[in-house]
Amino acid sequence: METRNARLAGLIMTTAGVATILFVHWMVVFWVPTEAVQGIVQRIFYVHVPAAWTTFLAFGIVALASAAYLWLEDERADSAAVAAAEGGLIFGAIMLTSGPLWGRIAWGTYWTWEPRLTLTLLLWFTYLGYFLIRGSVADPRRGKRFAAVVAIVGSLNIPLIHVSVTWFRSLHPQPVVIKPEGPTLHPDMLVTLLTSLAGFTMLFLGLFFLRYSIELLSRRPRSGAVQRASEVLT
Amino acid sequence: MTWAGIVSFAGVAAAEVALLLQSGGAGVPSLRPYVHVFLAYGLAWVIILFWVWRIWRGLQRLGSSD
Repeated sequence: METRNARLAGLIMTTAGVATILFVHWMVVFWVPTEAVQGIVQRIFYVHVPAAWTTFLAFGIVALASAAYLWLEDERADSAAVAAAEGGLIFGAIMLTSGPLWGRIAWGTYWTWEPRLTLTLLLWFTYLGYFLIRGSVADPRRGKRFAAVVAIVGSLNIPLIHVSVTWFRSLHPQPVVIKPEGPTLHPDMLVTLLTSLAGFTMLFLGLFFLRYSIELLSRRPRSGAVQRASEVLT
Repeated sequence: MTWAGIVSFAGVAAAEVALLLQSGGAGVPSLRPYVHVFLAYGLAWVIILFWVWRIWRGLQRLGSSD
């Protein structure tokens, strides 16, 4: 029953997320004003920032679920951590591909080892390591516990990435939304960004629930079909 | 559109091209930013669809075992 609910919630949220993101595409092409200095390439902002937010949300969920697993040894917590980690890697890949495409036009280079980029790449590889550690230990229970520790330690990087633009010299711009004096973004740009953030969040949560339901089923006493599904996803 | 209209349009277009050539191509909008925007959104969909495909494959294999 739990997996059925997760699957239903997943389907509804995924559909809502896709619809919202398609609407954002319309906003980006036809509605939002073009930024005066950077021009058209600034429109990558509406995919890059929501992808980054979703990545941090996903890895935050991994850390919380991992802490719950270490404390309670509940397989559901570990299942949630695995599903969220996979989503974090997916949305992290979007962030790490859209950023350089924007940077090439705005900064003149695809990549530079400035603090935010370096820390973000480190975060992505940390959670790639999360999966490698799970599979590299002979005892699955120990592998899960080691990976949970990696997830918790890795999440400490998230607040550091957020403050890196103010603490260190960085090519990244200063925050334009989360500021003590309020957002300084053009209102239409802010509406587009918030709509995109909502779409990406719904899409991530939808796919997360679907992936979580598969992970839960794969850990039940094995029938032939469940065994095969588990093999596909590992 | 009348012939006079077509000739006028062609004349204006020719004048624009001549002005651009005189300025050494400065002011010609580059297509590169558009390509990068298109690639950024396109790659995002490819990556998302990859995850959707993996999940769909898992759900298919599970079938009606739930």
